[in-house]
Amino acid sequence: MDVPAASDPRWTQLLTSVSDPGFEFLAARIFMGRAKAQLKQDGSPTNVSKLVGQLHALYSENARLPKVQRDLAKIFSGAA
Amino acid sequence: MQRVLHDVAETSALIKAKKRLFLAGDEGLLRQLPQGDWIGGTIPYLLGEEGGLTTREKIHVTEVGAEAVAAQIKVYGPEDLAGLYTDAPANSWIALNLPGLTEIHSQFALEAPNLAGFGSRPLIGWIAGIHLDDLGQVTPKVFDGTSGEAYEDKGVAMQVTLPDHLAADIEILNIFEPGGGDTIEFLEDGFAASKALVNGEEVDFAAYCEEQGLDQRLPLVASYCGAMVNVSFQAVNAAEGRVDFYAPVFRNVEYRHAAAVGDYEQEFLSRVPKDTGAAPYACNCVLNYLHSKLDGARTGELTGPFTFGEIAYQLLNQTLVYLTINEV
Repeated sequence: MDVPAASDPRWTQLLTSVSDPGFEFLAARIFMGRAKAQLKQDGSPTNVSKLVGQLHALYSENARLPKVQRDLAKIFSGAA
Repeated sequence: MQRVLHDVAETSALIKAKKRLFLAGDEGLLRQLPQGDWIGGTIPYLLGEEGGLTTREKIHVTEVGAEAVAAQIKVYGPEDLAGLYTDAPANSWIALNLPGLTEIHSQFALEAPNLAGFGSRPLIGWIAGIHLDDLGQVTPKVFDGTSGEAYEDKGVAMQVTLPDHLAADIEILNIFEPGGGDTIEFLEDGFAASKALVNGEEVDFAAYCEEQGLDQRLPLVASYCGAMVNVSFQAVNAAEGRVDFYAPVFRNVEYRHAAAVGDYEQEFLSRVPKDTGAAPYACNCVLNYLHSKLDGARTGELTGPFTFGEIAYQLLNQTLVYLTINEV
């Protein structure tokens, strides 16, 4: 599936949710671990927006990987 | 299983045959090699086809697969590190060697999670080290084979470009899991800590480690959305009130001391995916080699150096890291 636009609110929900999305893609898991730590320090809308942009870019750059496609299906198609 | 340990003459022949190589071995061996398309790092602890060993005679050789359409070697000084991802061509993966116990090692460890374009290319690699008997006498080094230059203050990377129908990915295999004990958080990012929040209460962390009798062979473990990331103990100095680590701890990340592992080799082998085969690139941690008595032990078909730190997008400890190449 195509990577939804960074403006899709589900990216923000993903980043700010306390639940573990169960990602398969290692880079995304490491990014999310770091992003959640950063949000504890600075949860401002500006910082959330910056991190959403980075997460979106990470998925866009790797969209061809099968794991990334499965993650996207979980996040955006409710396949989880 | 393909042979991966070679002497200097055999490795030189591969270089002269224009093979693109990732090399790991004693500094004295790497210095004898001809110039060519290779990068390498110093380390005498290797996992070869016959299992783990310490050697000053053999070099671990990983050949870049024939599927690669291009490979480019770049040297990274402290001022260049920010471009690690953005420098790399489209559909490439990056193998990075950094010299251990150096400024650039520390810089990468602290900055990696925030590099521009984080994760836009698979970034894998390892930290060069030395024989522990040589501590204080020699320094870890990395090599740019194209010039034959050895560096103890810079990193060397090979960017390997794949054809459109293939894509690289990175996996980690970590047998350590958070134990059921206290939660530990740190007040600052860094390779050392004096204070920590244990279950939310600020304590002298070195004194805490001593009082609890924490087994320092077991790392601190944090779950990064399910990816278990280890930070290994280097030293606990209660007199100075300081605990040193082999990778940085980060603020606002919740750590726990790892649960004990019985038989590392058995535990490890039970977790190696059966379909992995010989990975195009892999490395493991020297602490696993030393603490888990992997001398002579095999870990499936995965071979590589036992290193002073593993890189899978960021610095890891006590973790096996390997690359996969997938049809897309």
